[in-house]
Amino acid sequence: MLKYTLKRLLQALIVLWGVYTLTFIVVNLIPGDVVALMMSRRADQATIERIRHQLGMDLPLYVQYFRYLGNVLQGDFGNSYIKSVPVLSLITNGFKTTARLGLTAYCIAICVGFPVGVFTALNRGKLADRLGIIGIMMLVSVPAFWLAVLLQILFGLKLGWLPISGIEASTWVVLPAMTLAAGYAASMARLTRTNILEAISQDYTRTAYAKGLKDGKVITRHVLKNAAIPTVTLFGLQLPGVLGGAMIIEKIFSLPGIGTVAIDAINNRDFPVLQGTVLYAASLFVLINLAVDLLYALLDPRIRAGVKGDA
Amino acid sequence: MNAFQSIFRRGDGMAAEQAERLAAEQSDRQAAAQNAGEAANKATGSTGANEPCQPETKGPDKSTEGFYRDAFRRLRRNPFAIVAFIIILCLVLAAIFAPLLTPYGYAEQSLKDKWAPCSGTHFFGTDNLGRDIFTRILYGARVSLSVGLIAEMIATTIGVLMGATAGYYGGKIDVIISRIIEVFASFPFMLFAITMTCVLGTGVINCFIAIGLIGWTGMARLIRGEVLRLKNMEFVEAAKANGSSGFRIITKQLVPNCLPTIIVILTMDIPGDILLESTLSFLGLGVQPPTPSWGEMISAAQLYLRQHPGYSIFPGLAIFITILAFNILGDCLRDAMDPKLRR
Amino acid sequence: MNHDPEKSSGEIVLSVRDLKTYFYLDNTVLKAIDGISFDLRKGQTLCLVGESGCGKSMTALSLLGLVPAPGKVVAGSAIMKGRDILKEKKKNLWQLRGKDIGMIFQEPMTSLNPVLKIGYQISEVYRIHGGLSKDEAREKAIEMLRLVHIPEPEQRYNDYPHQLSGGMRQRVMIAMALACDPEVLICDEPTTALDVTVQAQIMRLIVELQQKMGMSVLLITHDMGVVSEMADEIFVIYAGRVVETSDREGMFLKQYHPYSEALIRSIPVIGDKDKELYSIPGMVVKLTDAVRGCAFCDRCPYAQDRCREEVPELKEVAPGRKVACYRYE
Repeated sequence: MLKYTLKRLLQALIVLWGVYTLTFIVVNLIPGDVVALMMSRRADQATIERIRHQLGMDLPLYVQYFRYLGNVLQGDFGNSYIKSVPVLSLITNGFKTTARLGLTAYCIAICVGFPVGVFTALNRGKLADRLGIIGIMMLVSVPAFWLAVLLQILFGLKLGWLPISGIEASTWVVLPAMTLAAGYAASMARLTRTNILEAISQDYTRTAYAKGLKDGKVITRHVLKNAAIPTVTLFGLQLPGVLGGAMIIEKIFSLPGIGTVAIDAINNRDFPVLQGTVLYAASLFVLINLAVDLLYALLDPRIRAGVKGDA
Repeated sequence: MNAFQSIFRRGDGMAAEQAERLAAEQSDRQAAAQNAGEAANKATGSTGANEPCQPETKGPDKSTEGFYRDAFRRLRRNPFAIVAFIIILCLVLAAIFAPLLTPYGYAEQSLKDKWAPCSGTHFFGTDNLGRDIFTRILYGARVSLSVGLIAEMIATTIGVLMGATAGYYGGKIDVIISRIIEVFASFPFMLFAITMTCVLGTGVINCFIAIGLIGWTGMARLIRGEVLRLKNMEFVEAAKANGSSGFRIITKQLVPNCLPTIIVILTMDIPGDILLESTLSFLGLGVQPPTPSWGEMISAAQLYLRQHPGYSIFPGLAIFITILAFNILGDCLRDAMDPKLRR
Repeated sequence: MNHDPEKSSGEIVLSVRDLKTYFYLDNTVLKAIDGISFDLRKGQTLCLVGESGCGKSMTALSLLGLVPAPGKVVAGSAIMKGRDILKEKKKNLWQLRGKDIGMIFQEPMTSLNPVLKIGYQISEVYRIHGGLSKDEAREKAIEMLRLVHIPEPEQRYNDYPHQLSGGMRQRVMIAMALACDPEVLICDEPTTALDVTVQAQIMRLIVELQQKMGMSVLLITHDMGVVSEMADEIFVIYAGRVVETSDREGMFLKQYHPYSEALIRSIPVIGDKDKELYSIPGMVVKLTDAVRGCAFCDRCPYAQDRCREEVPELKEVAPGRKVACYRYE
């Protein structure tokens, strides 16, 4: 187990480095003289040169690469061009909102998705199952931003129950979280259902019945325990998606989260912020994936206990 | 394809690693059972006549006509698949024949007619500039479908190549490619797409490229898993013994056997691509006006939320139905091609 | 082991008559079992032999009510202790499974739950059927592990299936099946997935337990070697029907049905280096509606016209021997 952890940790570090490199490459591919764009050609050449030197952008690319890397490792993501505040502070402020939205949506998705998945799996083929599947299909196919707009109209405008923008009201998170959760709840229900059905079709379920176990025990002791392992880990892997999806929802509901920060950065050509945001988000995803992998190893006795194998 | 692969790919990129790991595990177990069974048979001298129903050492031959015929027959009998297919067909035809289906141009403004309700002359009404919404939806179909298809082609090509190479060669190459896959998969799709449009600029073609460059990781992982499973089978050994080069084996033997998987994943990824395009257009980063895109229309609807809340309905429905149809078709395809169902 | 004449006249523990299990597929009906009858006596080992077309295993699953959809037991009776277990209500079947009839399967790896400790999986049986407490069940499970010759049973109790070898796993399956001292033990190809040395051990274990506990064994296999060691009675099954019955010695001395003949002939003889291995030409036919007459006739070297028209009935051809073949009419 320990060996596995270390191996995955090492892999994660390599991937993080890859993420950093890719981000650096992509951001630096953005065409045009960055500084000039930022300054919107208001400044003269001398000022532009001065700014460039200040930002260290006249250095060769690979030097910038390592310099920035060094800074990042110390927590310094540079400063925003536009707002003159450290990028990191923008990110952390934005993250509070995004995290609140994302985690709320995530919890709703699990609390709705898992039971629905179990229910449809156990009632396979019956009406409840078919309806469930249709519902799942439909929710999964609805574009989140459209759903957001529809919900805004319904709950915000027509019924006036919930706020449709900003974070002032205490219930600001409800509508956005529901919008975000919808698709993921459906997806999780589907995952759960598939894994349970897979477990039911296995030989060990047949053995359990052959021993004289009744449905209830077979399902709870044998089926669910097996189905839970891939399900839990797949759920875990949805979290980055939820956080990513939150970024779009933020724009629709005008929430000051990371997504808004990033989109503003793009519109304002505020590259340090953009770079920092992408880097931050991607790194977060890598870490979540690492955690999920370790969780999986922990839950599955085949990996945890190792193989001893003897006659 | 095992059950773990029946997950949605967008946003679930990492889950595919899970799926692939579990699939590899299962194939190890199957291989072990096979070996035990074979050894037992050889040792006891059971003959071909008495051999029990064994997992085929040659592997399910997915490149035969029979397989596709079976799959197609199963598909044909599935009412959902038929409906989904018809819907997609209609969309494609609508996109292609858009000019014939409507007298208006998509950019044709008629300010005196703005915000007209649904009527005989304007099936879906008009928007804030008096443009016929029905027309814009039809032309929007062109954008969405072409992006879906082309971006997916790009993603599939990259994904299959990367996945097959990693799976077949194994070792260091596998490690490197797998890390690359992980790196690309770690990026939040949105941010990455947005950044790519920054790099490439906006517009349709760049949309294709941006989406194609992000979306290949899911396919790569699953193809890698398939190839890992297939490469130990007899037909690959036979090809090696014939002296085929790695490239030949990959392209002539392995990929054709993965074709069902590829088709299914492709069909199930297209809705994600379409969604991505709509989202990008929604954010103003995709197709630029006046070219209509469903996503952009919904974005515009947001501006008029209070006065004309119904404006977002038609483009939203269009996206919804398109994505739903592809999802259903992909699902039915997967069921039809699942070798476990084959008797 | 000598042929025990007493066993053929013992009390009948399970009496199966005309068992039919059909699979309802899209266009056709697959007759996995099409009229199998046998009597299983106390302490006896009855072997169902034949190629695998998934017909023989279905017999076992039919008896326990475990036939997977779209299969169904459509006819027949199986009388045990005065009740027809095939007519038993689904929700009462649990009392019979594991308690009156124990079953072990072909693949011990996949048949054991990978995420539960093996000891627990055995204890479960005691807790359902005996109502024992956790500790009592644990004690009995350890005892059972000892009975099947698993070394250090107290430690092994906490192992997971993947930590055991194939042979050990099969022993665990046997322990689970015999935990509640059932009257009948059904073994569905118990040794096919095992190494040959381990096969012998497992077969010996089953015989030993049979002598200790007195249960009857219904052994389903394609392996004539196993049959030659263990069977008291042999029923040769082809395409869902019984084609020949015999006691053990008789079958190896003389076979009546062409299929049995072919089965015996295909056993390779050690020392016969030059001869080619005999294998029965053709493939097992699936019993769908379209087949009329004897199912073996396409592969039979003695086929007559009559064979294709009507199914031959099982008739006595010699004392203790029955065969379903027109050659003997």
